Amino acid sequence: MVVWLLCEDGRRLRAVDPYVPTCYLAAPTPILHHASRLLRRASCRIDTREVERYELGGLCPIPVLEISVYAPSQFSSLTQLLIRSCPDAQFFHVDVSLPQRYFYDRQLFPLIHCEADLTAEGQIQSIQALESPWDTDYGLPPLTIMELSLDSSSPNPNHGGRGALIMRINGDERLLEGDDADVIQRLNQLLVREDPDILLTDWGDSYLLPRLMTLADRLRLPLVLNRDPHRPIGARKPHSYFSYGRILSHAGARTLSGRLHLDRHNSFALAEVGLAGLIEQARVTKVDLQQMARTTTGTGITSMQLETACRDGLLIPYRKQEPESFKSALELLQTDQGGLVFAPIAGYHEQVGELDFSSMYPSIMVRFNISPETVNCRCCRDEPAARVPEIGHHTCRRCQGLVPRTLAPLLEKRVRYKKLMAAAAQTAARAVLDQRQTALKWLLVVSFGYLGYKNARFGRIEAHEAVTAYSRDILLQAKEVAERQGYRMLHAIVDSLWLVKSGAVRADYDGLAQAITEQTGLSIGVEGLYRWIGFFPSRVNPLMPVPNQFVGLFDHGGMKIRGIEIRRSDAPFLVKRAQAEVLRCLSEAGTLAELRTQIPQALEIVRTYRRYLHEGRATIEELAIAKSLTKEPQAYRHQTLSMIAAQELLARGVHLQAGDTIHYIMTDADAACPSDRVRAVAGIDGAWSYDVSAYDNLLLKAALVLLMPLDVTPALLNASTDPARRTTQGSINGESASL
Amino acid sequence: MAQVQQQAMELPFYTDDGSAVIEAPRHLLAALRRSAVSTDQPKGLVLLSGPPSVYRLGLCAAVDRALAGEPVLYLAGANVFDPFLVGRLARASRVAPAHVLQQIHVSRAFTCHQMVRLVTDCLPSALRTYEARCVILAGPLDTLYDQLVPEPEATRLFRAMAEALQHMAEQGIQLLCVTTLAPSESGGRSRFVAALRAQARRAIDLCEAEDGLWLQEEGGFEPRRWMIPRPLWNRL
Repeated sequence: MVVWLLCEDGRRLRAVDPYVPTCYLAAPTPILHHASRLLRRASCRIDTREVERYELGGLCPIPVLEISVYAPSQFSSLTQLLIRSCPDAQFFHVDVSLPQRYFYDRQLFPLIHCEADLTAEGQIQSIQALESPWDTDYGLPPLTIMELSLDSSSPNPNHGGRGALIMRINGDERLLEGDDADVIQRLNQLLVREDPDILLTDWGDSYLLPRLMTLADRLRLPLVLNRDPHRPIGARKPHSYFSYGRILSHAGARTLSGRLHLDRHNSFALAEVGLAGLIEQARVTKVDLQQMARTTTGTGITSMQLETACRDGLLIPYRKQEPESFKSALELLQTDQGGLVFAPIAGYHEQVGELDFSSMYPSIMVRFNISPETVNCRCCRDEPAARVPEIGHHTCRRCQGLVPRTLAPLLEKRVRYKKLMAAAAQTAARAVLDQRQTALKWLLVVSFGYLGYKNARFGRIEAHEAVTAYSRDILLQAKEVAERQGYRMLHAIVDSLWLVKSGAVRADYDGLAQAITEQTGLSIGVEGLYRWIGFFPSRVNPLMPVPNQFVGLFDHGGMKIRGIEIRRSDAPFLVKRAQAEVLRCLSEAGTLAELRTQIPQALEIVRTYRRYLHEGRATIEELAIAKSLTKEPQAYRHQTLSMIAAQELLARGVHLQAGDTIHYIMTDADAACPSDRVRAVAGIDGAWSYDVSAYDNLLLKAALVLLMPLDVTPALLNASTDPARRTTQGSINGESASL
Repeated sequence: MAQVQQQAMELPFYTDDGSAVIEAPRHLLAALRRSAVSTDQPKGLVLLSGPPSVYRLGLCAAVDRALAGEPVLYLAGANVFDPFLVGRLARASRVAPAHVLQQIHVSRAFTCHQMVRLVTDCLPSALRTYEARCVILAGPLDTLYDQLVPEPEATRLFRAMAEALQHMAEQGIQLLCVTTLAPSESGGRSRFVAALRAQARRAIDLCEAEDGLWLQEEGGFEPRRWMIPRPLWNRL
């Protein structure tokens, strides 16, 4: 196993640890003999021995053949050969990534502060951790970061509109211009001279690195992207995948050896929790940084479960085979439910408090011991305290399950980070702590989904059902406690409640949270008190309330916004900005009565934006609409606007796949000829215009959602914000809108 | 458990070419009973294939058997079991939905390994436990199309499943296998549907048209067709 060490004297060392990975095989004797014959033909040293190991939830150990491979590089090909040749055997520990296995077995993790003894040839004789992944007060190695990006406003260089290469390091920025050979030579010189530890790119996986490598290859020029000269650059093709009901596109990967390549545009973790959060996730999950940046958060939580299994000596199955137990359709109807939602009382309310359970689902898993092997265990079926509310399942009262064992330290660490955040004096330190606790939050969030995920190694649908059953019961308990104390519930959604009580102040809500925590055994806190909050109805049917679509003004002046344009990725920037300005205007009101007095001012803001649009002054960046392709471009039957934009890109030779995001502007949304309706933003040149009416509609809708509960009708909004009407003066971007 | 009386009924309308028109949920269930899950030849494997609406039709067949008082085992490979459709069909037959829902025993498989284990290991014991003779396999091939599973492995698993189905069919179990057509990217796995078709005693294809859904059975004594008008289908 190759391990890169950053020494205290600043040297970067390539060391080799003689690590011997193992796997296990269970099969009848003839198959074991066949496997042994195959292993004898292997070109590296392999040891086998018969041992006994436990499966998760198994009452007795099973006999297995332990296979130790002395050449880790051959481990994968050997196990694949065995799987193909012995289809009726059961395999364990065969498909866990070797770097992860190495971290588990050596009790290390990425970017760990460690102590190692090396031979003169760089072989590791011993390596020991000097810190724990559960430490909250840790430093990071002094990593050199080189940033590479393109000098272009294109939303995606793969779709067109590429610019020159920009390099940044240690606060120094350079534009690498000239012909292709100049660019490659200058970049190579910088890589050799600066020898960065991290290459942080924009579009590096899908465009930048492949393009640079192709150019270097074609021009026969050296380009030392890898620090390790013995290894090739890792490449993974782009692909689409489903996650939480949406199809997403993965741009593939270009990974380096001895150096880390992180692509800001191909990393959920980097986008959500920044570099500090990504490193936090890699430390606790033991997934190497380049993979953690590109994989789903679920891979991280799975890795933590695998480590728990390895530590406990449990076998990790190659393929999950245990199906759901048969249940009547009536039982299915009762058990297969999600969290509880009480639809909101639509409209604006004042003096509202919001209470949120802290990490509700993972806390339920830990508190009620919910894990694949503990749900419907054989030992506790007759214990009343083991029953799951509403449904017929029970959980084990005797042995703590693998999932709770994995999640408990994660929950505890996040609580410590939150306490540190509250005590942190410096903004920068607080920001880092926030990124770290958010990184842990994401791991906790997906831990529930992975109980029911088809490919989860330790998932089981009954465990998933048990969690939601407990959550429904707990939310009802919380509601009852609140109502006993005289609160009225306005809205509740799974783990959050919005409550109101005349004259209640912060101390009252804190007292209520304490009472609910005592009643349910789960920690609930006061998210905040709102001066006012608006729950918005469906735009299709104004009589229908919609959960999780609201705007609220906290008593400390901040706002919480959910489900409206400003939070939507597909809303044009101009519409978002207009809505933000209307909200800023409304936030000057402290009461519902004052809110109504802000209406004329809010209408004036809308009018200013409409006028800006009608005067044709909006820019491409302000108008661009981003939409994700929900299927392969060829699979579309109707000429939707995003499909028309996709067709334009396809005609230009751009490769597109399901999940890709397309950016376009509406040019004439109702045109008879589909290609006249929109234009793709990337690479747009020449004369262009936009459909004023279509954008005007979007603008009015974004305003109406906020103002309709204040009795502003669509007709009133349209008439009172007529851009042709000249009244008072307004401005956009601090610039007068030429009234 | 009370058995719901079902009477043979003549379908009220026919199209110009003599195909039956099914105009009410009870007609639909009756037609299915006499076609897809035939009671005159109860043994063996019947394949119902077509666009995704076949899954709703498969569920109609399950409800029909449950209304007749038979326990039904429903193996869901495509996570398509819809208890609300069961409820609507039960009400259309003036039976309490809970009564019908209790007669259908469901297990969901989310991976091909689970599906094959369900068919080969769990199904035989479930048939004994619930004293059932009727099995609906909804989407047994969907999990095998998963590109994360190498094709040779999927083929091996399919063979194991097909063998188990063949064995159960020979034991006199009614098996209705409901499947969509293979997706375009399924490669060599598109052979699975054809292999099941060759193995089935009867094969019925579903086609969607503007006026409704057409069921067509090839082979047998004579080719047969049924039509479910669009308004009825949309009402289900």
